[in-house]
Amino acid sequence: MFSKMFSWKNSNKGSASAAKERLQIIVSHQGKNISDESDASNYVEKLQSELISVIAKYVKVTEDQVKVSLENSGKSSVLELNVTLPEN
Amino acid sequence: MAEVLVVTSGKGGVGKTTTSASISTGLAMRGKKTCVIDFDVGLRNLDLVMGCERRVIYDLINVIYKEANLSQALIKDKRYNNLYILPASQTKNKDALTKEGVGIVIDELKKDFDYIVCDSPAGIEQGAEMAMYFADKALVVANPETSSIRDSDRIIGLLSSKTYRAENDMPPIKESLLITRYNPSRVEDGNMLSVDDIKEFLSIPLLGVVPECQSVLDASNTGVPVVSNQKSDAGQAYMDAVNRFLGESIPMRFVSNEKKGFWNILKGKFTTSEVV
Repeated sequence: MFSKMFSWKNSNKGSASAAKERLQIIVSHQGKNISDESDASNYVEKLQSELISVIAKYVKVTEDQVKVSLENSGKSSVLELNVTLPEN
Repeated sequence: MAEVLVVTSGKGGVGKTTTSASISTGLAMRGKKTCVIDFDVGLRNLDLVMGCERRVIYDLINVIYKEANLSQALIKDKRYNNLYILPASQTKNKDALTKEGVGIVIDELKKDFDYIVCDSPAGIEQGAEMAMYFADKALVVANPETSSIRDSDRIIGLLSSKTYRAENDMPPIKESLLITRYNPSRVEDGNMLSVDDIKEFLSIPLLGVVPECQSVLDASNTGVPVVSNQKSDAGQAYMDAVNRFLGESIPMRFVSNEKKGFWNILKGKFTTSEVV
């Protein structure tokens, strides 16, 4: 009963949650790993090589048949994965 | 090897000058020979916060245009003899700051000082650009407030593109975040963005959190940087930030509501009994 009386304090209903939601749309550096100081292109490279090895487990693909690109357009980032499957 | 630190934020009024004054004074308190430069040409205020406004004769613009020597323009701090202030001009505007001129002044200072702290003006124009251009490290000052965080985000983008290090393929500027005017009890009420929220939005390492504190206004009223007041929360928080800047690892203070009022004690009691 008392917990109900006081729990509003800890609930996320204050104006801070509205601020968070609004910032999520406009801030571009969000979500980057702080400990990882390498820039985005570095992780795209790593992601590409790991994706190739995963895809290669199932389909016969070469390096140039898997393309990964990251594009920032202010509001959002688009990660594009393009796999050319071999004809057979 | 001298290091150039820019104190920047994009948004005005978040505490850049207060921070520049306290970080540079703190570095001097720790025995580092430090020079703090006001880049807010036309709207100088660092001299007021440092308490040397009546001793300004020459300024940064005079030095750039060779109307005075650097040694004539540098003001020696009254309290710490390894601290110097290079004031901004009050009459010119920020376009008087040239890349070449600022570069020469900073190179000259590098010969003599351990740290050169550049107090950036608000905005992203010439003044702010010149303050950050030659930086090795950047301290991004942000308030727990939406407009401040968006502007900080913008400034972080500029630090990695419109600076000497960025333009010359050198290792990037080391950025860190200083959150000022933080109020833990409002965060607990859910009405202020938390340290973790801000860290997540800006994705740069946190150097310190300075709580909202009357002592900051007292400090600017009297012209004594708040870091000199080690009895105040803000003064201690700034000294912690200086020590972390110098490589010490110190736990964050003033991030939770420690002062227990009557209702908090009562609330604590109820919460405990509920858990049992």
